[in-house]
Amino acid sequence: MKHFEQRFPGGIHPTDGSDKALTKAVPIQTFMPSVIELSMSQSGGSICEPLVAVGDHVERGQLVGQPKNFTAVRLHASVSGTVKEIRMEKKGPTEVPLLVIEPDKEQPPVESLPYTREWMDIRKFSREKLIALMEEGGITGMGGAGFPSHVKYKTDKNIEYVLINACECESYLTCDHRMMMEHGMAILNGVNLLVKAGGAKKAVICTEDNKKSCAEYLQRLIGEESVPIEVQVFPVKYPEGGERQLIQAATGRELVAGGLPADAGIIVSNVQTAKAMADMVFGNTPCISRCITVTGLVRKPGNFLVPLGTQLRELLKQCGGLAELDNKVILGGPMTGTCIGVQVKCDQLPQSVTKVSGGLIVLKNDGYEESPCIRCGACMKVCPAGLTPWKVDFAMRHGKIELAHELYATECIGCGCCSYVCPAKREVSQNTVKARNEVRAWLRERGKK
Amino acid sequence: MKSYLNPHIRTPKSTKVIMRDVCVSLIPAFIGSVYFFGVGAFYLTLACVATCVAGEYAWQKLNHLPTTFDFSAVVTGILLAFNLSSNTPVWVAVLASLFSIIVVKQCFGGIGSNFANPALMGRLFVMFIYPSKLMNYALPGVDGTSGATVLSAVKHGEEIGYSVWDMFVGRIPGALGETSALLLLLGFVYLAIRKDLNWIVSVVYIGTTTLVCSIAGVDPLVSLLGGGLILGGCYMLTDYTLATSRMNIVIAVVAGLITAVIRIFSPTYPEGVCFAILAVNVLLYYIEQLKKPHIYGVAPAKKAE
Repeated sequence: MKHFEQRFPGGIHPTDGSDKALTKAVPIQTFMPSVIELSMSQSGGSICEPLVAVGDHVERGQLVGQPKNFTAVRLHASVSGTVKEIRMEKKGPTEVPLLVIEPDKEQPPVESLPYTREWMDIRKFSREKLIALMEEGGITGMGGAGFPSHVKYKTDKNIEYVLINACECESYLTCDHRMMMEHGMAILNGVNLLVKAGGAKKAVICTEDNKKSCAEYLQRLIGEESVPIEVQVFPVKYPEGGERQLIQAATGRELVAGGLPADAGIIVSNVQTAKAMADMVFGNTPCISRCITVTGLVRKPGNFLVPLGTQLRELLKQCGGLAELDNKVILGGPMTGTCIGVQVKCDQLPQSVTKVSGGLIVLKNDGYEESPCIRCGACMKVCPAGLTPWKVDFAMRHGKIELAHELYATECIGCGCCSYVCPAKREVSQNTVKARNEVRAWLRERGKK
Repeated sequence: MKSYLNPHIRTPKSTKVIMRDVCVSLIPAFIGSVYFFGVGAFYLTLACVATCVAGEYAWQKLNHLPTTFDFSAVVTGILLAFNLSSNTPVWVAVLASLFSIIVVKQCFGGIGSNFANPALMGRLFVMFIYPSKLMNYALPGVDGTSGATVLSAVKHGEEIGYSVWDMFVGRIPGALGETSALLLLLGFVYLAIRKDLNWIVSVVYIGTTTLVCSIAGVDPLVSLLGGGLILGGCYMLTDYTLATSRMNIVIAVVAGLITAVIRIFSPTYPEGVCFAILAVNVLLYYIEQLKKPHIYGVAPAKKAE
């Protein structure tokens, strides 16, 4: 186990750790939801075509959604049950189909398979076979962005490292932490498979100081076993788990602007993705569940390993309901997640668990109001990409796309550090992300001419 | 309109909190000024603060701008008063305050958009409309007599007549708030602990000036404690636009050199802090051009393993 000094610039320390303490010692709970609402858009921008009709009976693990665009992956029924309804659900700017499944009383039993207890022999799987299984199992990045894993691993680039992102640098979230503690062996088997799937030399499991116990546990499991897996621990800092920052921290390499990790010989995957891989290859179970942290101002915070499509309101009820009515509810991490409700009551909460939902956090209702920029430069100091966010912000507010381009707005990673530190509470991060997207669109437009 | 965009957690520090911290940090020096220079110091500070706050509010109202109170006008008022001699007439202070807050601050777009430190511009303004106060600072005590400052005495080869301790606690002639190094440093340490300012910049600036002056033969303690170096270095140079620039150390060195050059070579003007800081205010843009920031991935750092 290696321990490193901080190796990427900028970043913040948003909390003191009391937020993670709420849930990190609570064992993962499971339950069978009363209804499943399986969205055909499991990650931002992806869309699947439903393969079943109302009234059909589906088995757990049965393919129910065929990918319709590049960012989508196959979707499987997360429970055995009957399709009650297919309705359109608003998601961002578009509407996507949503399968409502009523689970059967009797679910097929979940066996305890050897891969959760011991090292598996992976010699019989070729790289191509593993990538095909990845695609078949609908495995996608489970850290938050939800990029299809098989596309990532299919690269023809020479891959040196597979970095397993176990940093969980967002405050409040502990689902990866609990998964490592309780499903360590399955994860390690999955990591072993990912190394092979990427054609890499070795995998590095990257975690932070506040998860030292996980690192030690995984290291103990690895023991003397001759597997190409290494565990590294970094000092706590947000956004350690940002892809580019993780690469910088673990290898000291910087990606060329606009480049992919594969160009630098690296693939980054989340720990839960590794677990999903092991489930698919050794357990023949596609990606149909995930672990989500439900925390903040709820009565009994905890982590839940639930079927995809579990309604968020049902999760809240499992936690004993809301502890604060003047609240705001965040889906995802507190830095990059989205606010899905303000002053909501438990029953009114929309949406359900998808492959990328890592957390459901209830916070005090404190909206922010912008005031003039005092040019304190705090945003500039914390920007891990080295940008001057306040300048990009001004450029954007005045519609100066060209200026935003000159300020390298395209390199923004959207981590939110700049908005976090801003004493004037300006939406610096929002505007910089907007500038990034608009500059990219502008460059594409210019490239066409 | 409140916003609910990510990130959903934000630092508790706000503009208002920072400005309030600065006000708090200036309280010891303010009490000291009343102690050393009498109740006139109190009225003068009150006049400056009241004019700045009222002037800003009136301007914002007249121009239909948002009128959120954030203590920044209070800071400008206090710092301006600290730059005046205690026997300055109140009407001069009021005019200077109006000039600072309206012309220098609001006309350029309000907080954060001003091109130079409003309090220092106010001081400059006083030097033009009421130049007799340039050399004649009030002596400590309540009788209102005036005399040459320590720096000016040194410049003209006169006997200083004050002990180092006098200079350190502030029992010397000078502007209201600049004389007491002890009380200013007290507030400065408070701000540094609250992480509201970059203390390295102040140290580099004060160090540069003292060093260069001592090479020219001035007693380092005199240049350190005799004038406005500590007030300027700790509260004016640490103005956000200057102290948080990527080039802040260079800026501090440049300001230090300018101060020293004025102090050593100027035939009439013994101080130099005000001019130096205003000069780097204006030079900021050019100094910033010297070093481009490293953008991730744009000029990749050497591969390290």
